[in-house]
Amino acid sequence: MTSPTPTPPAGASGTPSASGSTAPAGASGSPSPVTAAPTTPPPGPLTPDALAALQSALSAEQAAVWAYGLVAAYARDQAAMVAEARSGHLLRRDATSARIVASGATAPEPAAAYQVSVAVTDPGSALMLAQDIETDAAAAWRVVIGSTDDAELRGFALSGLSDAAVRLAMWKQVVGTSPATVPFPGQS
Amino acid sequence: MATAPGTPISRRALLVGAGSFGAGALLVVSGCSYFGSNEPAAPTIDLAPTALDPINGLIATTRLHLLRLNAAIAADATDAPRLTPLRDDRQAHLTALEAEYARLHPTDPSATAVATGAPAAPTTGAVTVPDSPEGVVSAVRGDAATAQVQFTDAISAASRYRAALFGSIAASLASHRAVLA
Repeated sequence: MTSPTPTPPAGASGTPSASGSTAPAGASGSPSPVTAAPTTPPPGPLTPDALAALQSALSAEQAAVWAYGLVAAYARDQAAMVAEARSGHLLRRDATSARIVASGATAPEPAAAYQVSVAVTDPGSALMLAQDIETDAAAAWRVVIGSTDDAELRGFALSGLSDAAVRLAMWKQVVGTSPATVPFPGQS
Repeated sequence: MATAPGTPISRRALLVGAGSFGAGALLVVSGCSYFGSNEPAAPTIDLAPTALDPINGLIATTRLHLLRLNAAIAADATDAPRLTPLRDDRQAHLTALEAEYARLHPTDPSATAVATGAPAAPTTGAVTVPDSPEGVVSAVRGDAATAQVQFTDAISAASRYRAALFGSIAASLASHRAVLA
């Protein structure tokens, strides 16, 4: 869906910060949150596989935060849902970044802008992009689960995968796509 | 033959008791009978049974919930359109879980049935469903929550491949709860 432009800016946002003070965004106000707030996991070493997967997941979250800004510009009727979703990705981005830094590795910086697969020109295309965002996030977190034997990290990744799956279903419901759910979120 | 504490046991009584116990123990150990041949019976107790694959519990839960979803769709025409896609998801979960079981247990008869496309167990049957449409949806949502917890718990000790599969199914169940909320 989104790919970073080649030159991330110096001093761009996305540095680790404390997070987890509020609940993650659900896809809408009606369904109860499925997972708890993305708290910063305890520090610990990461295997090369897990680190690479976690860095990819962080990149997906950074792209999601940027792309939801684009969605917000067009999907005015779903402003609350967009804000909640963006907030959820923001919290998870920070928690993921903190986890990487705590392991002694370097967290990738976000890009200045991202190339999206959908040309966003109206509310309909904006909601298409929202679905792409969640599909990409789900795929990234699923890879993290399958790249580590650490039960704590698997749980952390599962919350990211579940949140993305719920948001994807909510966006599909908004646009009237049936079925709204998929049997294996994150699996292509 | 009870004796008071401190009462000395006679040598004869001791021999009779020991003989009875010895004969019984011999029968138990050897498996012979008074009228049988000298051939020892085949041992029937497996002292080191094969550990059960934990995926069996997940398959059983999924199959049960599929039964209930089928019954709910049949009983509640109003909610059938939104329950049917969820049933299809659960059927896909069951197929994937059975395929994963068959992958690691190719000699298991039930796994062979899965590999050849035959259902290992029926997914239709008589189960009771609540009377009201609200009750039906609530029951389906409760099943999804139960299964989500079960799959989440199974992630920690599973192999990497299975953990990704279980996690994906748990996330799917989370979305089921959301669309039914």
